[in-house]
Amino acid sequence: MGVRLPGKLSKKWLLAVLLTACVVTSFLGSRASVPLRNMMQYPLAPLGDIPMYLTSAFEGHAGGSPDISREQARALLVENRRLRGQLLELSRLYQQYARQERTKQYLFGRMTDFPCRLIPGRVVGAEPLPYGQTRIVGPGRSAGTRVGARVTTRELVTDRPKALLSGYATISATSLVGRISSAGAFTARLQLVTDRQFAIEAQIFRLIDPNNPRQIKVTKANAAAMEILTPQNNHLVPVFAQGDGANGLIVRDVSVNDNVRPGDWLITRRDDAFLLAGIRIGEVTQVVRSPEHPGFVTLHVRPHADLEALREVYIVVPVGAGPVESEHG
Amino acid sequence: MRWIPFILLLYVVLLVQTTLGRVLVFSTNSLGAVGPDLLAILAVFVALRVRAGVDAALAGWILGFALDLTVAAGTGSTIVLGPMALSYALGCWGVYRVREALFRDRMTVQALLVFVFCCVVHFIWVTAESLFAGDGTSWSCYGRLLLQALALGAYTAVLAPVGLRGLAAIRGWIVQAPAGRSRRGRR
Repeated sequence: MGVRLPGKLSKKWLLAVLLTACVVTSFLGSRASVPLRNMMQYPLAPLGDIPMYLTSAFEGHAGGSPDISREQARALLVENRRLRGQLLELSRLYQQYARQERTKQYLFGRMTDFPCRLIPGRVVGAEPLPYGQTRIVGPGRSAGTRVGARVTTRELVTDRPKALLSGYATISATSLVGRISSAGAFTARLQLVTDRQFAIEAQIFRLIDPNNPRQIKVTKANAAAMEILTPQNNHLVPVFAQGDGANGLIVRDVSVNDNVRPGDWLITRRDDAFLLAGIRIGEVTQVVRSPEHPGFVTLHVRPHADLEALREVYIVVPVGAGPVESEHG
Repeated sequence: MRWIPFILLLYVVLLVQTTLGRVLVFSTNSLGAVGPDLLAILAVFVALRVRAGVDAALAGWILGFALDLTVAAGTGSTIVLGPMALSYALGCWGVYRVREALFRDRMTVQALLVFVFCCVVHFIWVTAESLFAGDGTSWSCYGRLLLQALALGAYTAVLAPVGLRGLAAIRGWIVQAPAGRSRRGRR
């Protein structure tokens, strides 16, 4: 059963050659590592599908909502009823507004459609060590995947209590989960938004709560003034978000004047060359005042998608020449 | 050393680590994600059982290189290929060298060996990758990665006795039985 090496090539020699090769590949950097890692995904990806399905199912089940007390449940029910009422009123207003907007766009507007291809993908593997937050996804360059392409969740949206008939299903891409950091022929490496190396220019969308209004500082006629946040002055706050290497994102140096609160949303910019749409990335969970910079706060953001149970995704590839990003760092 | 069964076992462990192993990973705010390095358990097992030091180093190199090929993120924007293979080879050779001085069948000794192995191997890897990182790594980030490696070592050490017991059951498939007096090992 043991493999014997030819007489002249002793094991010591072989070891010396292999160790030297390691030193050489270390100095070659991404020129050696990217193609070899892409090749390594071929033997792992086919058999990784079923265990990854089990892992996602388990994580999805284990990461469920925590237990709540009877009082909390009652309060939530009351709040739900109130919100449902508000939602109905808002949806009526929205339909009216959307009708007007459609007419206006049709008559005077520019075409705002985002020419892109949505490539359905599936997570078939993960990072073996906990230092990085990446996943291996099903389709690679052969299906049109490109480095830098944004990756979103893929969800089936339905409120039908019974089994769906074919043709009735609606698929939605509700939140950003990461970007493609390298692409091989049949698989690609998805860098999650929580990875330390993930960075994106994004925006904060502040939610307006009539029961708990917030004040923001604005500049009017070269003078600062405090105002209540309203739909009219609720501009999106441009920020730079980075993965924290664990389970969230960090947004540094946000002005206290913007009065960002837990519950606000982090969304993508509409002028992002790879994804010309504003979709959710996560929700602000913590606002921490920076001791070094008194006028600024640091935001901790929890991703909207359950990244541990991530399974089905869309890779968004802009149609045409589109933006180009290098995979060699 | 039976190399073909060893490589098949390596493939299975790597597949488990990259898929089902996610279940064992948990996140902390201070350290980040913490998970076990299952290949380290296999590396220590092989280093404790093989006949020659060169076999231990070769097996370590193969394990480290396989891990190197699957790790694509961590310290910087570029993760170079090679440091994990080098450090695993060194680690396995080190375990082989010290094994005669240890009561290697004791559970606590095994766990301690795995802990030290993980710490040494991952400290070397984190340091090398931080040095090779194209965009540079800050001291705070480097310190956090070392702490993460320490936590990984402790977590792997906790799982090590179970893993080593399992591997001991299939020992004959991957390591040829030693001949002579050392067959029983030291207890």
